Amino acid sequence: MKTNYTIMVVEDEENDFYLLERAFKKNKITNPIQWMKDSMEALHYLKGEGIYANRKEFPFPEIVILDLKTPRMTGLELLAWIRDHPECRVIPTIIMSSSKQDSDVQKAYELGANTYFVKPSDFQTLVEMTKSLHDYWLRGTRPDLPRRS
Amino acid sequence: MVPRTQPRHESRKRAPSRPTAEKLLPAIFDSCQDAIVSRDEAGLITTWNAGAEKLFGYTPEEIIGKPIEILIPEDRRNDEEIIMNRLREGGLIGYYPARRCRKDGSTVEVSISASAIRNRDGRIIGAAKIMRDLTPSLQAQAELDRSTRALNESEIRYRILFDSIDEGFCVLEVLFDQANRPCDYRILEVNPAFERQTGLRDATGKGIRELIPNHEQYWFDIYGRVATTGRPVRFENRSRGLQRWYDVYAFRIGSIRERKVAVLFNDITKRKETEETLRDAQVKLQLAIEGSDIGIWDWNIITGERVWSDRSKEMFGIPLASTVTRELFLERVHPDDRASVTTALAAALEQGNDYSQEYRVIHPDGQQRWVLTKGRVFYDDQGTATRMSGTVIDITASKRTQEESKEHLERLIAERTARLQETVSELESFSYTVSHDLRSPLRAMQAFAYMTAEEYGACLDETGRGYLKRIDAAARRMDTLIQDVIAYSRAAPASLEIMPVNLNDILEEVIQQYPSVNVAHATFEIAGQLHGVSGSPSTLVQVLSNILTNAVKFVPHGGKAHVKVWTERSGEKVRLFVQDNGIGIPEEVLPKIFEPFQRGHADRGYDGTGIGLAIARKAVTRMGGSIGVKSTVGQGSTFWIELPAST
Repeated sequence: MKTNYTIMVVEDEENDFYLLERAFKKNKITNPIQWMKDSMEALHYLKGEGIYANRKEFPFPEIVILDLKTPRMTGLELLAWIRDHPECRVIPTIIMSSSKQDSDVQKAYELGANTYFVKPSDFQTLVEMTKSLHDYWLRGTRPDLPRRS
Repeated sequence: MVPRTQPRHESRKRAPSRPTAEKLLPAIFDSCQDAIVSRDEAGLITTWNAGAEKLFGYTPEEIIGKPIEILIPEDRRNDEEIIMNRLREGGLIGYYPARRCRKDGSTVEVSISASAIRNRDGRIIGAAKIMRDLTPSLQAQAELDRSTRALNESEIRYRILFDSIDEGFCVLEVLFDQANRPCDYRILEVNPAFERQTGLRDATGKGIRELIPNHEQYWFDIYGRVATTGRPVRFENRSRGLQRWYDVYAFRIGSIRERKVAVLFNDITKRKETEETLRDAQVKLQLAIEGSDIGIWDWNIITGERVWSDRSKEMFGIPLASTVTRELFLERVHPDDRASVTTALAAALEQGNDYSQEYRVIHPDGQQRWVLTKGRVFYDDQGTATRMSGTVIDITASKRTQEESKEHLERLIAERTARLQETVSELESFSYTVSHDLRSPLRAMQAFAYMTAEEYGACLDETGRGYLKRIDAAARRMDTLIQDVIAYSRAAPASLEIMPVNLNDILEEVIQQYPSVNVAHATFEIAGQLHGVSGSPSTLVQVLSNILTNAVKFVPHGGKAHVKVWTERSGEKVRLFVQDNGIGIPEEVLPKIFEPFQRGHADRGYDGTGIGLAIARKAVTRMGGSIGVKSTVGQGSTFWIELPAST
C-alpha cells in the first residue's frame, strides 16, 4: 500500500484551495495534490486527454476531493460521471462544500459520494478535518487503480 | 106590477102573442141567474126560482112554505128584521151585502135587493128579494189585486237591478233622416252606471250627436238595424268620441214604430289595451324569434304531440315535413348525452323545475352540434303537468370558443407556472450563491487573519494583534448575518404540511432541546392543557424557539427570566400567549419588530441579528395565522400567535 498516492482537488476558489493545501501541510501530509480549477478540467484529467495522457506527470488520483459549486460543470455532475465510469467509479470521492443544504447532502450520497464535509468557517477545524480524512484513507484499504498499458 | 105567486110552469105553457110586462116577468123569473125569493107576512117562503135553487141547493118543493130563517146564519138572524123594518118605513133595499146559508151547510156571500109586497090597501103582506152570488166577483177582485202586486214587485226588482248593475244601460230612440237612414239617436233613459261607463252627464233626453259630435256612423247603422229588424245584436266597438272600447248588447223594445232600442254595455278599454299589448308583444316575440335563430318547441304531455318550429328541426337535422316523436328526438341526441337529457326532463316534470340542458346532437350526415335547450312545465288547475315548451339554440360556436379559451387558459397557466418555477429556482440559486459564494471569502479572511496571528503574531505589537482580532470578529459577524438571511429565505416553504398539533408537546421539545431556551436563569410556567392548533410541527418548533429564546434573553443582566405560556380559544381560532418579565420593547420599535433585521435592543448588550421574529411572522403567516405583541418597557412583553383551531 503506497502512501504517496495522488490527491485530486476540484476547487474553483483559489483561497479555499490554498487553505486546504496549508491544512494538509499543517498535518505533514505531503502527497502530491493535483489542483483542478473546475470539473471539466478534472474530466479531461481522469480521461487522460491532452496533456493528461502523460500519467507519469499526471498520475491517476487515488482520492478525489470535490467542491459542489464549480463552473461549467457542477461537482455533482462530475460525481455522477465518475460513478458511471467503469474505471473511475472505484475512486473514493469526498465532497467538500460550503453548502449545508439537506438536498445537496442527500443528492451527493445518492450519487455515491464517500464522505460529505461542510467547509468549516475557521481554519483550525479545517486542519482537523484534513487530518482525519488522511488518517481514514491511509489506513483504510483503497481499491486498485486501473492498469494502463 | 104584481108578481105572480103561481108556479111558473103553468104560465110558461101559455104562449104569449106579444111581449108585455106581464108576460115578461115569468120569463125573467125563470131565466134569471140571481135567486128570486119571496116571503109572506109570517116569514114563510112563498116563491123560489131556478136561480135560488142553484144558489142555495134547495128545490122549490123542499123550501116553499118553510121559514125564511133557514137561509140566514144564526149570527145574522136580525138581518131579516132590519130588511123588513126598512121596507115598512118605505125604503128600498139595494145591494145589501149579506151572508146566507146553503142547503149543504156552507155559507155564501150575497148582495140583496128587496122590495115590499103590499095588498090593495097598501099593507105590507110580504117581501120579494133578489140575491146575487158575490163569489165570482170577489175571486176576480182578489186575482186582480194579486197581479197588480206582482207587477209592482217585478217593477221594483227591475229598478233595483237597473240602478245597481255595473253595466251601463240606456233606452234609445233611433232617429232616421229623410232617406230613411239612421242618423242619430236620442237617449230616453239611462241607469246610474251609464255616466261612469261613458263619462256623459245628463244625457237623458239628448241626442247623441249633441253629446258626441264625431260619433261614428256605424253606431247609428247598428242601432237602426236593431230598431227596424228587431234582431238583438252583440258587438265590440270603439267610440272615438269617448275614446273607449265597449262590449254592447242591443235589443229592440216596444213596437217597430217606436224605434226604441235598449242598450246594455260595458267599458272594455282596459281589456282591449291588454289584448293589444299582448298582440304587440306576440308580434315582437315572433320577430325576435325569427331574427334570433332560436328554435321553439312545445310538447303536449297529455297527447304526446310535439310541435317544433322549423329552426328547431333544422338544429336537430330533422326534415321540416317530419313529425317529431320522442324516439326521433332521442335518436338525434348524442348517445353519451341521452341519459342526462332524459334524466333532466324527468326531473323537470317531477319537480316542476325549469329545464335547461346542454348536449350534443348528431345529424344524420354525421355532423355534430351543441345545443342549449330550455323549457318550462305548465300545469292545469289540478296540478297535472299538461305541457312543456321552450327554446333551443345552437351553441356550437360558443362551445368551440369556450374549448379554445379553456385551452388558452390552460396554456397560460402552464406558461405562468413554468415562469414561476423558473423564478423559484432562480431564487433558490440566488440563496445558494449567497450562502456559498459570499461565505467563502469570509472563510478566507478568517483563516488568513488566524494564520497571520499564529505565524506572525510575534512580529506584531498588541495593536496589530488587536486589528487581526477585529478582522476575525467582523468576518464571523458577517457569516452569521448571511446564515440568517438564508434561514429567513428558507423559513416555512410554501408547501407546508398542515396537521393537528399538540402545543404542549411542541413547547416541551423546544424547552428541552434548544440551548438558547433552556438556560439556567429561566423558569417556564405552562397553563395546563393548551388548545390544539392546525399547523406544521417543525415550523412551530422554529417559531416558538425564536419567541422563547427572546423571552429568556431580554432580561436585565443577571436577572431571572420567568415565562408564562397559555392559550385562549375564540371561535375557530386559538391564540397562544408567551409572557415574559423582560426589559420590554420601546413603543417606537414595536411596529417594526417583525421586520427582518430590526432589533429592539440594538447596542444594549444583547446580541442577535434581528431575524428571529421576522422568521416567526413569516412562518405563522404561511400557516394561515397571525402574530402580535404587547409590551411595556421595564415590565415585559407578551407575544401571541394565532392559528386555526385543530378541532
